[in-house]
Amino acid sequence: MQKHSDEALVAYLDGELDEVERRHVEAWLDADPAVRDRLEALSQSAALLREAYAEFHDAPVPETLIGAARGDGGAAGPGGQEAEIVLWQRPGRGGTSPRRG
Amino acid sequence: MSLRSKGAEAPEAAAERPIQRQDPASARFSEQLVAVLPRLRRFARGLARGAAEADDLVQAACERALARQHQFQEGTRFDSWMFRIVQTLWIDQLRAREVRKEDSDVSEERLGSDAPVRRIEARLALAEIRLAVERLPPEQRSVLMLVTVEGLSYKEAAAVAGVPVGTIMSRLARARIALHQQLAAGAGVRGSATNAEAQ
Repeated sequence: MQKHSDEALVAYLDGELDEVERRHVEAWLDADPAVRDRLEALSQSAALLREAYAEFHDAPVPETLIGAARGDGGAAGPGGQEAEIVLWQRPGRGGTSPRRG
Repeated sequence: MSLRSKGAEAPEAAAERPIQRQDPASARFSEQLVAVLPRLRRFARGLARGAAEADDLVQAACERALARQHQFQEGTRFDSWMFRIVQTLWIDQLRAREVRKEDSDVSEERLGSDAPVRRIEARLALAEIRLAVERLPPEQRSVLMLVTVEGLSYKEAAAVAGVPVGTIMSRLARARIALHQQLAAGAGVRGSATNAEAQ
């Protein structure tokens, strides 16, 4: 990563720089208002980006997806469609027995 | 009537009734999966071309995850494991589309839907952002969603994407610059239109 670069600015915003790298970027920002503007622009577009997808996180999850996560409908389970394990109740037997589908 | 998935045999005897129960470990796994669904939906929405396609992707990811649940290592990050499954399925989808030469430029995103008038501008702006994201190359789109939206560290994102951290950094910087440029261009056009109206 180059010291004066968009990568450095982005990593700085993401808190991914070590202390030495961080101080270097801060000195660079102090020295150049154009770089400060660029940082601000990057920060703002990131905030807008998060806002643009917030509703997909905050909306109630549809029942179909919750069902899919719980393996409802028999579509999935350990081993998936290749080796479905389903418990059958057979009348007269009094218990359940596993059977590979 | 069979409750089984496609490809499974229907029960022969009507007297047999299937009881599908999860064992305790599977039930725990499923509840972990239910808990991350909001984040998976948000991530998928950034990859896919619309909300419906995104949810289809999440549904497929759930099925794959359940089928492979024994592969998940307790103590490792479950969300990263799931993001990886979503991403892999999506890449498979992209490749299949290319092979079938389907129109890959068609987005389900619609601008100016049925929102109340006073909120239309705000919703338009957010929809434009999503369209800008859709225009990014796939690998930039993915890293942008993983890091900037889902909050993964560079190291975690590198593990999900299966690339070095340096690659994450360069893709991410390119994605964020490209996004900013698209948004600035859009804002410039709208800004000048507004000024013209005001005069």
